[in-house]
Amino acid sequence: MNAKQMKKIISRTAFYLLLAVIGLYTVFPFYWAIVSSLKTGSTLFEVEYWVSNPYWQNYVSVFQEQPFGRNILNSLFVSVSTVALSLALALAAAYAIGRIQFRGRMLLLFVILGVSMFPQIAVLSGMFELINSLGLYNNLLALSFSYLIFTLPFTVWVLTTFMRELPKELEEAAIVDGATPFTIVTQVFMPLMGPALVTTGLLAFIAAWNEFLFALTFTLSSEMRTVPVAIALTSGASAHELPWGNIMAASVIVTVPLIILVLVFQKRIVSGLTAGAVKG
Amino acid sequence: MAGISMQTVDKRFGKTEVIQQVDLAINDGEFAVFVGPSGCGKSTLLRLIAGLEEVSGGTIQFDNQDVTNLEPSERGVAMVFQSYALYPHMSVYDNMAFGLKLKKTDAKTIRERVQESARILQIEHLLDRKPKELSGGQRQRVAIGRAIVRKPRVFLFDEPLSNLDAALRVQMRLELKRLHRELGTTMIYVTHDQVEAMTLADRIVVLNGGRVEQVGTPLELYHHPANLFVAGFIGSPKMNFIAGKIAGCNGNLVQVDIGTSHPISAEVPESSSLKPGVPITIGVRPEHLSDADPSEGSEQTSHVEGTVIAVEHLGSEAYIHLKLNTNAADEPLVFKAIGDTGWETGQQATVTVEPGRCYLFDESGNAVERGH
Repeated sequence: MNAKQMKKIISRTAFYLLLAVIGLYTVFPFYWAIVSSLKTGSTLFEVEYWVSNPYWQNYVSVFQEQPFGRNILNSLFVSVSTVALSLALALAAAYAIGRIQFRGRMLLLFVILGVSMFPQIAVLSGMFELINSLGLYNNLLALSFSYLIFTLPFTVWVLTTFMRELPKELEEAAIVDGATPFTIVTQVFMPLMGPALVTTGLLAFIAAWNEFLFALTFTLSSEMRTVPVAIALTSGASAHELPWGNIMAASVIVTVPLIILVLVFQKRIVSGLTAGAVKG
Repeated sequence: MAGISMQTVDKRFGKTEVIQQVDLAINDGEFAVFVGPSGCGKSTLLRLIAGLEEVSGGTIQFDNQDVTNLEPSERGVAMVFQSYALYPHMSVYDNMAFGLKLKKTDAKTIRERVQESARILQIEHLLDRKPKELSGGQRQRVAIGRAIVRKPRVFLFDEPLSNLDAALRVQMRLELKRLHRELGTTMIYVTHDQVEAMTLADRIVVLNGGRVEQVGTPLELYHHPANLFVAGFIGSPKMNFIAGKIAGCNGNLVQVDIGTSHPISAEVPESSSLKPGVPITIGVRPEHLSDADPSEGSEQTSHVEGTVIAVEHLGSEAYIHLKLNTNAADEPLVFKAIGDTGWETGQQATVTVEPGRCYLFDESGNAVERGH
């Protein structure tokens, strides 16, 4: 074995070692949540890396002790409507900004990006007044609307970039065929932008699903809470006891939809992240 | 089907005038070709006719109907693009049916028309495929098919063959010609390739710098170019130009002094308008020069001598580039020799110029009338 081969083996090993460390670092918290969710109240505080006899009661009680099923449905409603709204708006905006020449469109694009610079906490009180005056306090629609603040800037940006790359002749062919701008967007461009829509839609979904601050502020009753708030506000039998088992079980449950979504759209996400040229 | 007429059409992009005061009439059923160097405005002119660009001034009429402010679909035009511009996510059938569907044509008519067009273009077996599964030539046919199903009044082609390889281009050229014969619809075709223009056109429109230089049948342009630009653009290899002065006139012969020992004689129907001493440019096509024995030929033929600086062999013919024995730094003179000639660089050559084959252009570049 010469020095060159030796060097190759060492660098290989180092590479996989690095991968293992990164993998461990990212997956361990979730693994710990799974392990903790399968323990009874007393064993929770013992350090144990493997559960020998899993205790499933946490997964049942999280639904019994609070309206957790309702909370999941709330989250689904809010996330899906946020995604639908932001994609529809962003698609229309991207067509205007990406395909139509008008004065000040770069300025507009940067204003949209600028919106995402404000920390959520800075706009919170103003947002609260707005929601209140619209009569949407303690209503899920308040969340769908307010989440557009952080989903729209990046959906508009990504879709605009993508739409710009679509060949101009394709649009002109459709115009000659008698298509209106609406037809062009929905029947010609949208199918071609599938990967971009899936990728941005998924990112918007995750952002909406995990959002905490607005959800905490704009809802009051436990029936209106979304899952992050519901989990954070889970209370035990007494004020001094935190039901860690329930909290961990709930955390594991709410991660599942995201994993399923990513698996379902896996192929399209990859092509969405790499697709640049659309060839006829 | 429609005849097209344009009156004083202007197009400006910001301050750049792309099309300037174009008056043009294209007859019903004609195959017209817009040709010119890149940036001459030929594509813009086509897009103005299509309605994809708005005119800055002037009017466009189809059969006496003013279409200047109509949308492309309202004008009844169909266009074939250079990049084909097929809808990538639709099958060939859907690509062709898209325009009809938008017009709310009933399903039966759509099917019949798509089938018929597919038959004309011999793409019936491809109807279920997606564009990405087709070759370049097949995509081009689909793009043409998408245009003909709509039975437009005018077909517009924007350099449709420039993405195809040479052999396929020749084949598609013949096919377009056949299509035009079968459909009889007015067609306007944009190209920068003068061979395509010569072979396809009923009439050619030569554009330069946003203006129409000349309109005429291919042979009219070849034999009677209106000016230096058209003379240089039509014909391949391009016409030789030699600057000189009129040395004298004799009946219908004009002697042009080009700085060699003997002047060149050129034939004109009427020489009285030409005054000795006036600068003039003489034009001769490479195919009209010959390297035949200088002692042969009539008295009126002239001869020029030069050094061979390059030889291009094409097999059936060869193009020989000569540096003339003059002091002027003229472009090399190119002449065509038939067959597998023995010319080599460095040799001295004498070429024969027939007076009747010469073109004359005055100081401002306009052609002096030719006899035939």
